[in-house]
Amino acid sequence: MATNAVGVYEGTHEHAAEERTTWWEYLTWSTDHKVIGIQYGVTAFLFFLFGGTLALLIRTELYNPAAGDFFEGATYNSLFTMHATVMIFLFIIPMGGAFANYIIPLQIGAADMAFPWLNAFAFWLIPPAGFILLLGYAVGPAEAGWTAYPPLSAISPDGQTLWIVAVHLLGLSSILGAVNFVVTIVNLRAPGMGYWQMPLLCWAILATALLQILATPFLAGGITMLLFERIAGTSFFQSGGGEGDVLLWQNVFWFYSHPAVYIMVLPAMGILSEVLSVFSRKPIFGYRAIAMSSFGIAFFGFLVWAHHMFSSLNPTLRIPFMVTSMIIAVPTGIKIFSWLGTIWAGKIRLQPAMLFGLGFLSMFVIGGISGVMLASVPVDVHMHDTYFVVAHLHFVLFGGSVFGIYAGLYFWWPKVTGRMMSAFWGRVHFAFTYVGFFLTFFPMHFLGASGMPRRVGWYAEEFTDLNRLATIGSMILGFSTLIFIVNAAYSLLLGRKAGNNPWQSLTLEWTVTSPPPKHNFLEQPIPAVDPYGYGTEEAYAYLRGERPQITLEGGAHRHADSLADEPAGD
Amino acid sequence: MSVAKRPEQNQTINYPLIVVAVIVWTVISVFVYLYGAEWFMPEAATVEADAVDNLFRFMLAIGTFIFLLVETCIFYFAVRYGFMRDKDDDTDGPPIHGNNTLEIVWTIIPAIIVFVLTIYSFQVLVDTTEAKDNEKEIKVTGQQFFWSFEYPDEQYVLKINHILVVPEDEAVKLSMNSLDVIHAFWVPAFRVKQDVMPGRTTNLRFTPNEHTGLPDPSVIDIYDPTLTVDQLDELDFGYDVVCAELCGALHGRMRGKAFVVTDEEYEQFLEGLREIEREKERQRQEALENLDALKALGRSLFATYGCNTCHQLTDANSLNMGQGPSLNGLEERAATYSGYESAEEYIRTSILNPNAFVVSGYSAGIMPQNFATRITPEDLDILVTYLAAPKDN
Repeated sequence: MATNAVGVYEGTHEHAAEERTTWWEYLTWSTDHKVIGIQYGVTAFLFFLFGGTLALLIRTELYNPAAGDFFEGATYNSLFTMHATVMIFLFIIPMGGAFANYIIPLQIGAADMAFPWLNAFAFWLIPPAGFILLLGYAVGPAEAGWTAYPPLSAISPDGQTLWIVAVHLLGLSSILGAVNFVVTIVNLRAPGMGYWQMPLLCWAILATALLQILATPFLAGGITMLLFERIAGTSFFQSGGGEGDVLLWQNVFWFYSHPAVYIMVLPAMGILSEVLSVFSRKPIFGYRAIAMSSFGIAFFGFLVWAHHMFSSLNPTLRIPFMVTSMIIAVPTGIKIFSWLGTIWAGKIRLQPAMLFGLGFLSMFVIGGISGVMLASVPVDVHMHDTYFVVAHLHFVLFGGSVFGIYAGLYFWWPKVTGRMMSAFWGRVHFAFTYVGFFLTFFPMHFLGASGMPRRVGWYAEEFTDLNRLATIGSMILGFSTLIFIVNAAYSLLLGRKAGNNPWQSLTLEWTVTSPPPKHNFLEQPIPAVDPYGYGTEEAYAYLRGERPQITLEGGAHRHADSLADEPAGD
Repeated sequence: MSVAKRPEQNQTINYPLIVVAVIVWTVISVFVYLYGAEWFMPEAATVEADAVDNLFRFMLAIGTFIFLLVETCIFYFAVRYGFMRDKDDDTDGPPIHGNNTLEIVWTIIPAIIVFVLTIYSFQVLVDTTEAKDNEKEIKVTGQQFFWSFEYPDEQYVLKINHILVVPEDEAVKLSMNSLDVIHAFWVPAFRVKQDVMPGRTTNLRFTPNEHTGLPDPSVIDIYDPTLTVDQLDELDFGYDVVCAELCGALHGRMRGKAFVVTDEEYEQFLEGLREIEREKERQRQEALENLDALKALGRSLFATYGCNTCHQLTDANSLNMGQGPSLNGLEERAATYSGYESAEEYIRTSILNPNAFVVSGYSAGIMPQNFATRITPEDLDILVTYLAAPKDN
């Protein structure tokens, strides 16, 4: 292999191939980005199961219109509060961290992240944060919704204080992880990989990381004020009855939490770009447009926060936020149409990863359309805080993020574990997830529009049928997760060996063994000139193992030099 | 998967198929434009509702077209290029990297669509929220977990819980406040919603245009202060009033009814409210010497101040909501709590400072802490005497 390799790679280890990762490394402090990536992934998935269980409890209560079949009052409120908090802060955001940690250094040809110690530290903030959040069950869990609007959140039980502490830690983890991704992507790319040769996952993670660095401090500021409100008797939000402004929290909170939506969905979009191209056997359609639209979305993501406040904001101020919210549909549309262009006339392999990718595309577009409706102030005023919004956000965050996460899990599973997952059971899993998801969330559009507010354990009798449909759908969805778990467990124990590159993909992570050796690359990695050049002579040659000739210019030397903390090779 | 030769490039575009598809999508979208509001929206009872519904079905129709376009492409491509693919063909697809014309088209067209939608939405927003002449102003108060409405009157403070009555074809302005946390006032049939916040007065404007009338007094007595939301729910007319912003444990129960009436019925309703006030005045006079009159007034205050929202008290028609401790038999129990001189003192302390003594099984902080500022001393005396008085059940 690598006949034309230029011998500048300084990270070569003679015995690297023999060093295997032992199981206890996954349970202890490790600075290997692959170990940390798996730690992120497993932790996030466990919280996904917990959050999903809470969702099933919510749907079970909503099977009947009356409150108190199983849960009522504050207990019911704690269910959806914890469900959203766990899913957002302990599942989707860390899961993005899992993919970024494991895949990014491999994709850019680096031996590890730029700051391995910081990387481990960022991960190890998550388990204690999750523990502190769950400790709320001992003192009365948070029950003011994940949005925690004061004054309600200022007078909730002590679990709310623990919620604040947990979210603080998770925010810190998110910022530290993001700093690491930016530095790694900017500085550690292998020679021959300019910005425009980067895989689109890298672009997506770069945009996500910038959002995390810029937005998360506002969340930290907001919850610090909320903490003082609860324990020090301040009155920032007027919860003490003194001066202050109830809307201050909403402004600060959404200034983080709207960008957070993109923090949750951009990594999934990055995964989607990889998956659609590889399994369509076609170049990504409009590479630069997709890469740049992530930044367009990230930029406008900062200018739309008050569209969450259309029913509380001063009416005149609603107008500019309607305009910016509408504009954000344009870069999103560019992405969707570019993905359609990618699969058009491809030679599509309907592997589970591809099915979840297509599932993402087909469900996310519904969330996008309802998003434009919600951007319109007069329509939103009616829909705000109803099940229509619940439907919309799940089409974005489940139809988008979770489908994207599943696509990524199926796609990189062979690389991470060295074994294949059953494609048949993967397709069964997809079918149940797709049908269950649609049945659960599509009826909610009708429920919300016709008058059912969100966050209620009680509802009017006329909404019974659609709620039952949603509950049945959620059970199918819950069951589908079990199929995935069994399939994954079987693969780990008895799955067929994967080989280096089961999907014939062009990005660098597929040029090494599965799982990759301890320091990733045994020799200087040479990236393909076009990471999505499927169908070209160059791509066929690359997949045969021939490497392009690269010339080391100033820029390339800089990338190579930044690996200088590794032992010198030749 | 073996990698072999370069594939032949033959991606022809099937124009007749595209034309058929566009026609089908258009027909469906027009259909959605005509019926979309009926499928999604509840009955419409204000001028504003019609404007919002027209905007909604316009957006829904455009959304449907885009939805059909994208979904058809996905499913067609998946079947045509995936499912029906020659499984022995291991080659890659055609190396198409993009198409500038297409990319410009799918940037410009969505931009034009959202521009049109923004202008249209702006127009509807201005039309539906502007102040009108001769608005009827009604004060709305939100508190955990009920709405109360105050109607303008020269003589009395005409206040009633749960029931909003508005005159047909007249501009109405609601002026709203919250006594505790954030609530959101929403009448789905009116298509209007506004957060109700402590420390701020917010307004809501609408012009109702679908008459409902008032309930027949033989079916339900809306002037009975102890009337519950559940009793109101049994009516098959009237528009639901909903709290849309999470406000605590019984948020889902925070509902009421709105009735749209003629001017005559409106006057009649106000007169009914005035009669309640006169009745209360009489009860206040009698309460000083007559325990039955005091209890009648106590029952009414128990509802007016919203005690019945959380506390069970059968004598006052208040059901068990599982939120606060039951007050049935309180008069016997209260005397046994140590540290208090009398049952009255215990009850008075518990209203003004609910955390002073917390009944086991309930946590501190659930009950609003600000009754000291919300209740008049006279009403407090009556309420305490009523709660400490012996009751039949």
